Amino acid sequence: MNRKWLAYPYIIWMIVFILIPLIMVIYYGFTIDDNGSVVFTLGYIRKAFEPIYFKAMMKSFLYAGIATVICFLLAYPLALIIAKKDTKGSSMLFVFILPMWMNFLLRTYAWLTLLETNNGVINTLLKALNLPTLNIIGTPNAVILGMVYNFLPFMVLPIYNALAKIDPYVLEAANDLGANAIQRLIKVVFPLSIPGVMSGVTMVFMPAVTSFVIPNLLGSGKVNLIGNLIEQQFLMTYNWGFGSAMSLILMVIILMSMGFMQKIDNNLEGGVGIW
Amino acid sequence: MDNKVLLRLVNIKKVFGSQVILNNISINIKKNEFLTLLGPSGCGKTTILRILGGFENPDSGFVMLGEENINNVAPYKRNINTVFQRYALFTHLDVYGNIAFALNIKKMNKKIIKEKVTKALIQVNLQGYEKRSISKLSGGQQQRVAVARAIVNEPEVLLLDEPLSSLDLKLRKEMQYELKSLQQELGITFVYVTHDQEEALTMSDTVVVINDGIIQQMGTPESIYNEPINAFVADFIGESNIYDGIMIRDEVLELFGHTFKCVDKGFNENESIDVVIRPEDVRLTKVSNSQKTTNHTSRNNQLIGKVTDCIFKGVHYETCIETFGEEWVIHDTENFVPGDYVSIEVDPFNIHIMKKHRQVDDDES
Ligand SMILES: Nc1ncnc2c1ncn2[C@@H]1O[C@H](COP(=O)(O)OP(=O)(O)OP(=O)(O)O)[C@@H](O)[C@H]1O
Ligand SMILES: [Mg+2]
Repeated sequence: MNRKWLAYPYIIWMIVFILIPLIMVIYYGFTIDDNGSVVFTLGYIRKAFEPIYFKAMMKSFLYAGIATVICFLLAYPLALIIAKKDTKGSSMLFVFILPMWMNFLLRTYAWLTLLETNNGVINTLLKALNLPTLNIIGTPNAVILGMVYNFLPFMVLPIYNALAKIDPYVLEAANDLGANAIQRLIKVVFPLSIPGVMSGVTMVFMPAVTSFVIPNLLGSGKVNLIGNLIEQQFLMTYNWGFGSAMSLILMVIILMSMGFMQKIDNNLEGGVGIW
Repeated sequence: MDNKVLLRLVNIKKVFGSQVILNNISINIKKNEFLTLLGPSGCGKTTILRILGGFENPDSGFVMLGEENINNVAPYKRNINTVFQRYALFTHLDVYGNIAFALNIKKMNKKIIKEKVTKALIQVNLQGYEKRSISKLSGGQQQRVAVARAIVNEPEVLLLDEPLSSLDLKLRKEMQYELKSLQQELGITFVYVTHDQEEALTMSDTVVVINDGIIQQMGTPESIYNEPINAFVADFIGESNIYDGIMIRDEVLELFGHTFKCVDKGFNENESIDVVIRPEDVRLTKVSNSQKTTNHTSRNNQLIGKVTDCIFKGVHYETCIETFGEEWVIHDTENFVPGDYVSIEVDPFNIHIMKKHRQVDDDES
C-alpha cells in the first residue's frame, strides 16, 4: 500500500516553517533595495565582520563556551552519581529536570529577583547579615550563570543516558584487567560516554551562543551578544537585511561546528583510540 | 598438571536475599589444572567464578591463592583474569587496544606491549586483526579477543564463564580443541564453567558437578561418567536410563519385578535404590513372535520390550523401548522397526546402583 501521503503534513510543515523562512533570510541577507529595484549585495555580510559586530560574535562564542565547560564540569559528576544503580539515582534525576518544566522566561526572571543589586533576595540577606553585597547583575558573570542554570539539564541528560548504557560487565572486565576506580573512569567510562558528552555540548552550546533573553535580563542590556544584535536589527532598527546576514553567519558557524563534532564522534565509534 | 594446590575454595557460602546460592563449597585447584564447573542453569557456577575473580564476597569461607587469603583483595590486584560470559569487550577500542589494555595500565614499554599483543593474537589465531573494531568481529572472533585480552597478562589462573555457549556447534568444537591446547601450551590453570556435559568431559582434567549450590561429585571425567555418585549426576552426565529398584541383597537387585545381577554391595537388604543404565551399555536382540508374549527373563539380566521408535543418529541408532510402562533409550547399531519385540540385556557390571538419598541431601537434614 502506498502510504506516501502520511508524510505530506510533515513536508508542508517543513516548507512553511523551515524552508520558506530560510529562503527569506537568505533573500534579505544578500539583497538591497536600490531605488525600487532589488540587487544582489555582499554589503551586509561584510558589515557583520566589522570590529564591533565581530567582537560581539566572538564574545558570544566565548561566553557560550565558558558556560558549556562549566555545565560539563557540573553535569559529568552528577550524571555519574545518578547513573550508579545502587543510589537513588532516578529521584535525583527527577529533581534536576523538574525546573525544566517551568517556563524559560520565568526561570530567568527568578534569577533576576534573586540577584538584583539593591533589593534582590540574596543581597537583602547579605545586608541583613552585614556581609558585602553581590553586584553581578549586568555583568558577563550573571549572563554565564543564567546560561549554566538554564542549560545544565541538557548536558546532564545525554551524559546520563550514555553512562546508563554502559554494560556493567565491561567495567568488571576493566577491573579484572588491573584498572583501579580512577583508571576505569579515565580509560573506559569516559571514552564510552563521549557520544553523550558530544550531544550535551551541542545542546548547551547552540542555544547559549544564540541566546538573547538571558543577556537582556541578567545582563541588563549591558552585555550585548550576537543574539541581542540580531534581535535589535529586526525589532528596533528594522534593518532586516543586516539581521539576516548576521543570522546566516551564525548559522554557518554552528553548522560547521556540528559537522566537526559529528566527525569526532564517528571516528570514536570507528574504534580509533585517541584515549 | 602439577600436584601443588594453587587455588583453594574453603567452605564457601553465598546467600542472595534469603536464597542460599552456594552451600559449603570446597574445591582444591592444582597448578596447570583444567577444572570445569558443570551444572544446570542457575546452580551457582557464575557465582563461584565471581568469588574467585573478586567481584562477589562469600558470606563465609575464604579463597586462598597460593598461601594467601585473597578474600579482601580487589579484582584488579588479583593475578587472575576472566573471560566473561558475554565477553564484555571494550567497544571504544580496537582489537589491539583491547588486548593491550592491561599492559597499558601496567605502563609497560610500548615495544614490549606490541610484542606481547602480537604473540597473543597468534595464539588465538587472529593475526592481522589489530586494527579491526570490535563491532566488526564475528562471535567466534570476539571470543578469541576476550581470551587473548586475558592471557596476555600471563595470569596464574584464567576463569572462563561459558565462553563457547553463543557459538554454533562446529565452531564450538573447534574452539574447545583450541582452548584446551592453549591451556596446555601456556601452562595456566583454567577454571572453566559450562552447562554442556560433553564439553566438560572432553576438555577437563577435573570435573566438578554442581546442583543447587552443592558439589554433587568431583573427579576425573572418566570417574564422573563411569561411576556417577547419584542419580542427578548420572542423569546430568550423558543420557541415562534411571529406574526405581530394590536391592535384595549384595549383588542382586529387583527391577520391574525381575531379578538382576549386579556388582554392587554394601546396601541394606530390600533398600530402595536408583538403578542407572547407560544407553550404550545394553544389548538388543530381536525376538520371535512366540517369545514376545512371555515377557519374562529366560536368561539372567534380560527383559523383553517393545520398540516404539528408532532414529538414525549417525554413529548409532537411538532406539526407544517400552517395558512395564517405563521407557528405555538405547544406542545400538541395529535398525529396528517400531512394533518389534526385542530382548534387553545388561551385563552386571553395567548396572549402576545409587542410593535414593543423594549424599548431599544427608547433610542438609
Ligand atoms: N546479584 C544477585 N542477586 C540476587 N541473586 C543472584 C545474584 N546473582 C546471582 N543470583 C542468583 O543466584 C543463582 C545462581 O546464579 P549464577 O549466575 O551463579 O548461576 P549459573 O550457574 O552461572 O547459571 P547460568 O548457567 O544460567 O549462567 C541464580 O538463582 C541467580 O538468580
Ligand atoms: Mg552463569
